[in-house]
Amino acid sequence: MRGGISRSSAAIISLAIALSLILVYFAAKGGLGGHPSASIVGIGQFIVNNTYNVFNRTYWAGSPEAVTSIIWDYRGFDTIFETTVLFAAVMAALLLVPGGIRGRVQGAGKDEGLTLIVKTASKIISCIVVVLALNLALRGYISPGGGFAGGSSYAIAPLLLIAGLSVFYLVRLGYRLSRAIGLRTLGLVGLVVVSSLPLLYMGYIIQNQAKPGSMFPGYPVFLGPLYLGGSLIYMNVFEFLVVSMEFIIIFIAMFLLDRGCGGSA
Amino acid sequence: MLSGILVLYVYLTLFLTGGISVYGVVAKRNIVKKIIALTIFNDAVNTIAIFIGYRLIPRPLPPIMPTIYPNRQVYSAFISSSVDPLPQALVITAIVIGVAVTCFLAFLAIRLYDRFGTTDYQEIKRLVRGGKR
Repeated sequence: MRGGISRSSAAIISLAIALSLILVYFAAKGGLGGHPSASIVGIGQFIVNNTYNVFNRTYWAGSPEAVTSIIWDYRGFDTIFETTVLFAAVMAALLLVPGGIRGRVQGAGKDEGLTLIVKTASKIISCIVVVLALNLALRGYISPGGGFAGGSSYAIAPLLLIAGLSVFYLVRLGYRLSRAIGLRTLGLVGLVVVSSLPLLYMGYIIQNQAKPGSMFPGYPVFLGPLYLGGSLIYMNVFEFLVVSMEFIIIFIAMFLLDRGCGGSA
Repeated sequence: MLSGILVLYVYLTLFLTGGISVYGVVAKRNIVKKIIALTIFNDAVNTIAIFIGYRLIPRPLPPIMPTIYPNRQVYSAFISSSVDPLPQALVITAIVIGVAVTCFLAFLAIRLYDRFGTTDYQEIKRLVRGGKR
C-alpha cells in the first residue's frame, strides 16, 4: 500500500477524471443552471439594478455594495439560518470538551512558545490583522467585506498568538471563554433586535429600507454628511462579533483540550 | 470561440480539482489528510459557484457602485458591466461555515488522537476491533 499507487487508488483516480469530463460536458450544455456569458441571470440583474438605485427607491437596499445588500437585505433569511449553522457547529465542538467549558486555565506557562523573533513578529502581525479585520467589518457596506469576512479574519489574530506564544498568553490578554461567550450572545441579541425592530412599526422582519406594503420608514441611510447604509452597518458589526467570538471560543477550547486542561472531571 | 474554450478549460480544472480531492477523502488513511482534501473540495465548489456568475465582457466590474452619489451615466455603466453578485453572497457565508465545520472535524480528530494515539483510520478500526482500551 505504501509507496506507489495501488490498484484501487488508480481506479478511483480514473473514475474521478471520467466524472469530471462528463461534468464539463454537462456544464458546457448549461447544466449548472448558468454559464458565464455577456449577461447575468435575471435575479442577479434585478439586484444589481436595484441595490443602489437612487433614481427609483422602491426596492433599493441603500448600499452600493450589492453582495452585502444580498446578505442582509434581499436574502436575509439565508444569512440568519447560516448563522444558526455556525452556532450549531461551535456548540457541537464545545460539547466534545470533557468536563464542559469551565476548563481551568490557571497554571504557569511563563516561557512557552517559540523563539523571541517569532513571538515579536506574531505580536506585530496580529495587531495588523485586528486593524484589517475591523476595517473589513465596519466598511463592509461600501467596500468588499462584511461581518463574515471581518469576523473570520479577526480570528487569525488569536490563532497566531496561540501558535507563536501560547494559549496562556491569550488568556492573560483577557481572552476568556466566558467573555467570548458573553460577547457572542451580545452579537446574537443585537442581530435579533435589529432584524425585529421593523415589526414594531408594522413592517417585515429583517426589513432594511421602506418597501411597498410596509409602514416601516427604513433605517437611516444618511445622517447629515455621514453615510450609514441603512441596517447593513449594524448587522455587519453584530455579525462580526458573533463570528469572531465563535472562532475564538473554538480555538481556546481546542488548545485547552490539546493541553489536557479541558476538564478534570 | 476562444472565450468558450477558456470557459471549458476553467471548468475542467475546477472539476478535476474537485475529483482529486474526492479521491483524497475516500482513499487517504490519515484523518487529517481527509480533512485537508475536504477543504480543497469545498474551495473548488465555491470557485465553480463564483465562476458561473462571471460576465464575459471586456471589462467586468465588481458588484459595487463606485460612488455613493452616482449620476445616470455611472449607474448605467454599473448595471451593464457588473458581475453577478448572487454567487458571491452565497459563497461568503459558505466559506465561513466551511471553516467552522473544519474546526469541528479537527476537534473530532484531536479527540480520536487523544483516545487512540493515532489518526490512521485503519489503525483505529483495528484497535476498536481488537478491543484494546
